[in-house]
Amino acid sequence: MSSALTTPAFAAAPVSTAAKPQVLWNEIVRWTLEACILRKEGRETQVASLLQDRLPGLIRNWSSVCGLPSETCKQNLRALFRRIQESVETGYIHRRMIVEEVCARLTAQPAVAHARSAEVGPVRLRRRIPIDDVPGMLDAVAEAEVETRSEAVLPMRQAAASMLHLFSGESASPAVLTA
Amino acid sequence: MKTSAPKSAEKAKINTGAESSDSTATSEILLVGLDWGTNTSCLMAKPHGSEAVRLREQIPTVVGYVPENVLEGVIPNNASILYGRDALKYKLHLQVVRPLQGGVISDLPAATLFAQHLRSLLPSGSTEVRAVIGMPASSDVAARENVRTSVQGVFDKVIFVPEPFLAALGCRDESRLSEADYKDPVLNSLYIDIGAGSTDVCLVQGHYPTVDDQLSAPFAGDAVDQIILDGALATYPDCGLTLNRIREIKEKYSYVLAEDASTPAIATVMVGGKPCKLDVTRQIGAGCEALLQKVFEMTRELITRADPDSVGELLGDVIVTGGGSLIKGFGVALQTKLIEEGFENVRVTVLGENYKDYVARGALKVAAQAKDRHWQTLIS
Repeated sequence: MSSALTTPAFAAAPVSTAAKPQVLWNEIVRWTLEACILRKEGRETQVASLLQDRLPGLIRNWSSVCGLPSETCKQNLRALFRRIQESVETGYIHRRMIVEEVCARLTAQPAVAHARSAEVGPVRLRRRIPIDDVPGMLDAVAEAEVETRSEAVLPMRQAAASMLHLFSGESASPAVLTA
Repeated sequence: MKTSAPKSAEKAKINTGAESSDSTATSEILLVGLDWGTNTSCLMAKPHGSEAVRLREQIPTVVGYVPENVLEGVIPNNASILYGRDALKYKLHLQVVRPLQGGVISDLPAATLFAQHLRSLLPSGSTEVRAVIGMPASSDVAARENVRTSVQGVFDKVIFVPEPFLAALGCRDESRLSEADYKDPVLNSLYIDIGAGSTDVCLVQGHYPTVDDQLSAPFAGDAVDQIILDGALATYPDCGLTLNRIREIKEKYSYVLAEDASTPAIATVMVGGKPCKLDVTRQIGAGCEALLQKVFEMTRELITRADPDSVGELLGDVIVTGGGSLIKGFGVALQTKLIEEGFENVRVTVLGENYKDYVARGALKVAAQAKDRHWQTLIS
């Protein structure tokens, strides 16, 4: 699936501080999008790692080389974060609608559905449920199972793939962001 | 007991999520907690609304088919299929099948038969049987579908819950929560479940483990068996040892502490019709040590993920369960490794022989608290 958004390598070395503003901006886009997707997947540890370790350096470097006033930099970044968050949320909702339709069609082909489910791994909770709340836990397990099936039918990364093109390259025309 | 020949399991049609029009009186509902393990299954049952457990049984997860050519009278009641301990007792005359491998169903017809056998063990008189079934933390949706298919016609309604959740619930003694000296095992503990197919490590800190709180690796009892077998075959080529035989020897002699190596693990095998004694102590040690190292690495990683403020107390309540926990000295060895790594006040507790009970007990607790909307009705 060439259009799918692959997971960036967490261990990859950060982009050089001497990189061009466009390269740094694209990195900010890439890791912000990744953080938003990871948050939807419930992987808070990795989100925290990105927000604390990866993104601050990138933002600092980009701000120092982009040639824009400090306030404009902040505005551009805030706009970018907001739009990425909104897009991931929208993509999530679209996916759910698409998945419901696809699941309904796959009911006629359970073997195909099972094969795809096997590829996405175990059912895991994505939110915290107190131990005493057994009904809440069962609801969350059912929710996680639906989410796992959704991931089997249409991976979130694939649903979000097109978003990368929406944001990459925007720093070349900062006015677009501040408008 | 005369049983029928294996039949292909029919596909289950599942009605999920619907609120049942529950006209069945709760007194007629039997609740079942099932830990369907690769080697041993634990079954518990009680009537809905009652606290008294009516059935508590551990059954080897084995199905034995009787071949056509077995003489009459050899197998009790001339049965065509035996299960559990009976299958193991008469294994020389049977084609023995383990329906599960690595915690998930690998032989659907055999699993279906085994599930029907479990049903036959339940107290009679109930109009509806509802089962909460533990699933390995690492099992996928397809594995659940296989279990659903195999229990169709066996249970009326089912719920699948990850085993670590059930183990945590099962460990908790709610009747003692108000006691000052009772340490609630679900408030801040680290659970290590070493099964046959996978090792699961999870944080239980007052809430059910989320995706961030769990680590799972496909390295457990089965992998240890393979390491031991490979080592034994390298030392004693053509000795005829099999994985099943290795498993038996391991269950008797497994160890991780050097002092326990002084008890030699001797495997008696038949070579050319004569009994031959092979010392596999070193090979067993190597297999168990590999598992210990894997568990140590997973535990260390999960500790680093925990909230630093919680780690002090967490280290004092590391709980090891599953078949791998029965390796002699495992808890002490793991505790020593963690201390040597620099962790302080580590206390590792091994749940022991009755570890299977905890999952089934937790499953019964879930069954008692589940709402109608949670039960998935299995329709033929």
